[in-house]
Amino acid sequence: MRDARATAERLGERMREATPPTSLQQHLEGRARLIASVERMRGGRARPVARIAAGLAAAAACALVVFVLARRHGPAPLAWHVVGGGASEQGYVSVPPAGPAARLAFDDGSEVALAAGSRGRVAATSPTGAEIVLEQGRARVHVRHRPRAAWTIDAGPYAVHVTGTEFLVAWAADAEVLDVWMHSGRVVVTGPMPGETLTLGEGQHLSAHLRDRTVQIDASPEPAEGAPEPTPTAAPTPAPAATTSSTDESPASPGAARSFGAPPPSSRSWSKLVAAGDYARVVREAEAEGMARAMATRPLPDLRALGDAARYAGRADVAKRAYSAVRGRFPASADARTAAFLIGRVEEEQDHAPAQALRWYDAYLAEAPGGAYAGDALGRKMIIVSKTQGRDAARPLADRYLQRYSGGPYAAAARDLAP
Amino acid sequence: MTRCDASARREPSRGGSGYYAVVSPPGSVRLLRVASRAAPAAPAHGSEPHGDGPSDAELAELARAKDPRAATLIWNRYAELVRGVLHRSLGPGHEVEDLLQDVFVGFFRNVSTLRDPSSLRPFLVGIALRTARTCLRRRRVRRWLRLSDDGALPEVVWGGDDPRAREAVQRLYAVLDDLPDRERLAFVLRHAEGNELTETAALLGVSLATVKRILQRAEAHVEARAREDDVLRAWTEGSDA
Repeated sequence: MRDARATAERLGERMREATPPTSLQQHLEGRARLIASVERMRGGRARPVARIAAGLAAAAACALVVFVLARRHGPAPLAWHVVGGGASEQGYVSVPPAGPAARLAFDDGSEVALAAGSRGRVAATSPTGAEIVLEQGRARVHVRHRPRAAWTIDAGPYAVHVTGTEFLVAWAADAEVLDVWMHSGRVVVTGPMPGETLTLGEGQHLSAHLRDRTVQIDASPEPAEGAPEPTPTAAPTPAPAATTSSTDESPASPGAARSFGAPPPSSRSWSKLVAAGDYARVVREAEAEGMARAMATRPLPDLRALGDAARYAGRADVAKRAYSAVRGRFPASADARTAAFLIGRVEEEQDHAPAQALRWYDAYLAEAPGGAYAGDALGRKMIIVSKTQGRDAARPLADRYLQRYSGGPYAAAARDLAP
Repeated sequence: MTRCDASARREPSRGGSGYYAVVSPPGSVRLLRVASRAAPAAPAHGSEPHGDGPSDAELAELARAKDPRAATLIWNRYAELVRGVLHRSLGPGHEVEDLLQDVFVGFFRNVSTLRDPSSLRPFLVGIALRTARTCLRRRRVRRWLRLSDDGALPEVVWGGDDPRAREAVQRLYAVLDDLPDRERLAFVLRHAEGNELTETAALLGVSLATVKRILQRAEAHVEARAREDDVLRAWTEGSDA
């Protein structure tokens, strides 16, 4: 029976590895479909229930027919057209680098102006809004405030949710940097950043860097028209400015970024502090407590938070120690496997020790071949091997990467190695 | 075209630049964890329902309150988990995007019946399992009535470019096809999704003792068939890697 269980476990792992990956396109399209469906449901439920409760059977039948027809035809999705340009059948709009802005005009009075050199598309429209994908460049968004308005601007893995507002959004696809300059109103930004969601108010500027997962909020003014796109050199140091808490609806006050110097002793959990971007405080508290004691006694979420905080704060020694503690004290947890990858990242990025990094990436790939970071681990391994052992040595890794992650972030580098 | 049609439409991918590997970038330890025992399939755009973001209970409350953000947030968090459950429950031969929509629309339609808002994840997975089960039942009927072929590969490719892996996946699901639905789903929940026994029992709505019996039967069946199949045996042992 033990054999049967072992076989089952191995097959389960194989099933996970073999499952087809999902593309960003699928994710966004699925989300747009769901939002439209939920919108329709909300519209449908708003119809008078009394109609269904009408007394006589004949009247009820009529009411039902009316109800079904009304649902089927429902309120129409917003119509839109492009002023100063054209759109493909799929709603794709590309503005030439030297061309004038293309304005997407919606029939509720809302507008999205794509700047020169930008491209995007209208992924979906509903009676109360639209989902627009900004693939590259800048878009000035003016959403007319209406009850239940629901607009989303997708930029890479980030989404800006709007009910009624005006703002400028920029997505630098190559650098993977999102910038939002608020002019009026309020938006909610979701994406891979501490807190997952944060709210921006009038006058605020957000800069979210996907690669190092940092977010900065300040009062930087909008760039002038025609100014160059944001570049990765603008990446903030690992002590980002304020973020609102995940469910905080009140926007942080505009103005200078929050200072994290000399905070009062905190009773907040380390996870919350990391979510708020207060990495230095987490490390300080661990040091005040005694690093050895913290490593030996803190629960898993705290160790995980400490590792992250130390990594963002540039404290490679503490980060490696915390992640090692996760592996040592909680070896059966998924976090233990993740810690192997993260130690590899610290070794590579902060300690500049590629051989050590390789060892950890290999460990992660062996422990979690279908894990969340398997693509990243394989991609980083390929890059390191290419640099340290040459292109020939990296070619099999490139082949393997392309077989499994043909749309992944290292695919271009892999194709360069294994054309 | 039915929701369970093997040849269901699949939109061509345009410009998807493969964020599935970086949406949960290094630094995030918020994996789409199904359970602590096994690593999950690579989460594409999801994030772990713990830690920094809104809690599941808060998300469920947003959904109940018909907050316009709810669909986005719940989709971002759970689409990948649910897609994985559907994929691995049904196997190759199914395009799951339409079913995925059914699950989430079903969730929003029935969220008012969710008694414990913090149970959002099992609630969603439960809907996914019922959807998968319905699909399996329909598929059996269609095969019995010979309304469809016996599972030609759709556009969705399992096992990447490795022909041995693709063949092995086909054979494994042929083995699972011989199991009763409940045993098949128990096998998937426990071994492919990595749920603990208690979670598996709860998701299937059976007792712990029952789920143990079910799993024992399923494991024995799979083991026996895998042992006599060279391709499956090699795949299981990793000798094709």
